[in-house]
Amino acid sequence: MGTIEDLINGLKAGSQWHLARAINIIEKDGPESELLLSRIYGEVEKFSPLIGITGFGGAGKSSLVGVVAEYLLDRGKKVGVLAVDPTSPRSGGSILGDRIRLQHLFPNENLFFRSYANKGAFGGLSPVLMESVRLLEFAGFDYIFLETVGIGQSEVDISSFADVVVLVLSPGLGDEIQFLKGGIMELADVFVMNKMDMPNANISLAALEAYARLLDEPPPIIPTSALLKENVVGVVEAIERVYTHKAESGVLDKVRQSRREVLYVSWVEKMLKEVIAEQYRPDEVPYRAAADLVKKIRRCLREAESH
Amino acid sequence: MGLEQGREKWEALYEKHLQKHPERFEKFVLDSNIEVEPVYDPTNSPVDYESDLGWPGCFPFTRGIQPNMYRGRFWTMRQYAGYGTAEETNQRFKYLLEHGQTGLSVAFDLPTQMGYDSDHELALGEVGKVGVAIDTVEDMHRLFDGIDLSKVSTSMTINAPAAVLLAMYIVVADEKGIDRSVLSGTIQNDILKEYVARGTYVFPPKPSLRLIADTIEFCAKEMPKWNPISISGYHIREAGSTATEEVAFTFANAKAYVKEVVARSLSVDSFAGQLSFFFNAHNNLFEEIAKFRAARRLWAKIMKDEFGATSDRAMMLRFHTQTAGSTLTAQQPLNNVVRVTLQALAAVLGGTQSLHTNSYDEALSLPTEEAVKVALRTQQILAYESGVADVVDPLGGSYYIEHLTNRLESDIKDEIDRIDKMGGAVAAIESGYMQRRIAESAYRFYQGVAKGEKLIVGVNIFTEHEEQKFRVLKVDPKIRLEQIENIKNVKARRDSEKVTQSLNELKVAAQDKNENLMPHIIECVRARCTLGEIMDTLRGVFGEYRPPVVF
Amino acid sequence: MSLKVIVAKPGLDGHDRQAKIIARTLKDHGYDVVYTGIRQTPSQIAQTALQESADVVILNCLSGAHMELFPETARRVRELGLAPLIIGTGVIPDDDAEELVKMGIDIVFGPGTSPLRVIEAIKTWEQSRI
Repeated sequence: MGTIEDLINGLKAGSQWHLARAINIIEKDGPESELLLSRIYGEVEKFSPLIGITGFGGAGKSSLVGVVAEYLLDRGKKVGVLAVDPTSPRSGGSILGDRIRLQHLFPNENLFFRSYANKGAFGGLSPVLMESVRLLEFAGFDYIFLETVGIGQSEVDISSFADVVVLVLSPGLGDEIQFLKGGIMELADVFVMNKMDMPNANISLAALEAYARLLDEPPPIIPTSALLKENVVGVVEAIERVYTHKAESGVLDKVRQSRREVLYVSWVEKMLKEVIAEQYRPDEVPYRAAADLVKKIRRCLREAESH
Repeated sequence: MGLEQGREKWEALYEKHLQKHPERFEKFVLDSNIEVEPVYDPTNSPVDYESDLGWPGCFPFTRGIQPNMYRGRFWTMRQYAGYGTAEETNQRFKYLLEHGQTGLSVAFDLPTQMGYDSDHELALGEVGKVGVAIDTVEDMHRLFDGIDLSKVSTSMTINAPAAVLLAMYIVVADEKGIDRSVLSGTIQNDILKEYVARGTYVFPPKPSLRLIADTIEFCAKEMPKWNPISISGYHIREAGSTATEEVAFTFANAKAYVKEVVARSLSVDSFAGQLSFFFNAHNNLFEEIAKFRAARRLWAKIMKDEFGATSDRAMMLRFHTQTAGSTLTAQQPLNNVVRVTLQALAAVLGGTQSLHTNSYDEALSLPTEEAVKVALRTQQILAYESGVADVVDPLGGSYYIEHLTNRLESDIKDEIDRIDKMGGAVAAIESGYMQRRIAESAYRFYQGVAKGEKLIVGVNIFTEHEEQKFRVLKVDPKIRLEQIENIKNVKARRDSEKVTQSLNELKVAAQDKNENLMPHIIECVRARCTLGEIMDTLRGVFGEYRPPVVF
Repeated sequence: MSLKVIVAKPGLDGHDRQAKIIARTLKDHGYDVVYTGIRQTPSQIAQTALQESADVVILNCLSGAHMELFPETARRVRELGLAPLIIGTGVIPDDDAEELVKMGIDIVFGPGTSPLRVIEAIKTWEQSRI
């Protein structure tokens, strides 16, 4: 199977085999994983636009990613897509079906698609997913799309994590727009009104435009039809514009910094979880036990620092 | 003693009986989620004879579309057949006709159904497998060699490329000197159910609907005895739907087609009589019989009330039935003969116009000749020996049947209304609604079997450890090479200028939404263009469909 | 971590009832299932197995094209240096099943097989692997 060095070289050469293998190593979370992660976060970072795609189930997120990816591939770009689906809380299993929408684009040396089960990870963004982004950057992908499980679970995370957040809407979701007022609408950089081929789509588009005018910084609204591949270029251009603007204004640097922080916090949470659970005894008062534990941890940290 | 008191007395008796003799199930529920009571009588199954049933051959056609039904002519016995090359299928057709079959039904292989020639990369392993391979009109000539097309009615299970196969049939007749106006038969041509259940779609919905409307319009004008579409619930049911969903989704699809044609300012009366339907006959005898009767009544009302049809013919639901392939078991396969018999009985008691009975070995492989013959004989025994064909709608007036007919009609109607609210069949398909409903029903049924709540003889009850070997029919993989050779020969002999020109004209016509494509496709076929060339030309203009993700 | 299973439909056959029921049953037993959708070529399935780091690949074909498509898919998967458990399902006569095993399909299930038996086979393989 080779060494970490082989893996790094394979990644740098853009090999899909090595990329998949690297992700698999991180997922398994063994000793190799630590070595690999130290290496890829140790090197000089290079960044690719990371585009978060969010929206309601049924709005056509996967289809949109499919046509946008196809558009970019046709122009010689390398495209990575990471898609998250929910895990069944009952069985712990999942059906990862987002791939279907892009499957016709394979075989393809320039397209990499990986499906993730969220396994109840907070906000759907697991550390493995975030590190996969880093691996894709490492392997020289020009664009990375991150497709989330859907509204209401991951929007807050994705805005602190992605360079550009695209909210996909479809006609007939008027009530949901109301519902969203305090949430993702403020955090999205681009609104895409998909399924413009549907009857009465213009009415929904007008409603969305009226709503967006109320926002402090109204984002661009791009009408499109993934089905008919209409105005895909509009979506790509809007993403590019936002990305360039954020890069020039220094916002991207902050996003990338926060990405590392989010990752750090996620890891800590994940690693501590087991330790914390071990510490609890069944008869303890939960609040008291928690406060005691944190006190203990702080004391340990102080001692460690003074040494 | 009045009815009501009688009923009360019986109820008391029933309750008392239950205390000593509990029933087999706590509830008796049909697959279509209808709970049935222990007995039906005038108190819980009221019928208004004139408006609910009416007379045979009269609106709303509950009892059948002809005044005397099978007392004149039996239903058409039409066994779906096709495998390997055109020559082999031609042999099987002749065999079936010799044994008393009354109509032909062509099964095509998957490359043909998808509009790929046999030499296409995706045809690997598929040529001649589930049906006959047709690449050019020359194959079609071989398929019908020695069969008089003016005498036989031919049904073709073909959808996305239906217009091309119809054009081939027309050209074969033409080159044999038979006028297209006398041809009778059916093309399935029902693309919406392909998106929902069967999977052999090519183009997106809009251009597909246009192509279908083109064929309906063309047939209305030039081929009065042809059914340009067979709107199918069969595959929806095979994919796992309930009886209610089968009919509701089929009618929702049918409404979409009717609207598409009406939008061309053709009157419903001028074409609706040529619409035909295709349903499944499942295991529950009464549920199925009631389903057919309810469907007939509801379709008549839809055509009359929603589309303003005035001619009886435009309101009549004419349908083909096939027994349910999904109910056949690989275990103890001879039991399938009995299942098929019961399902065929349901179709006949439900008033079908034509019938395919499945072969008992279908769960194992392509049907063998012997099994096909038993299937045909099953129909003949029903027709000639059982007496069920001697009286019109013999179960009409049965309290249970009439209750179920009413209930199914109302459930189906509710489901159609729900789809109408979503914006019709196309919207419901694009959002994945129909597919999701079917997947849910299929999984629920599967779990019922896995938990032993649904019993299947030989599968989860009365099982045997068996090592029975059955003779299975295999298709020679060399067929692909033979077909490729045939294509080469046709290409070498044809006039390549005519090919380019006819394909070009088809392309231009396809770009113009107001042009009927049928005449252009006929010209391509006549010029010996291949199926793949014609479909590729249309793919270039129409694009290809990508399905939504549904579980 | 749950095992990752790919359920794939090689060939042109569009009937996905069985494939979907297998997929859902696997999910209900705790597996992560990647479903490819219908009409997949052997090379598409192989690349999917690679990109998803699949532990198991289940092929389902009802059209009778399994003798060509299953071995070709297995060959391409292994050519990429992958070693998942490859299971063939569908309308497969006994003679063909024996032949397919010789041609590189690890386990073959014929018509009428319950998805639960597929799961048992995966579990047995999983235990033998540890």
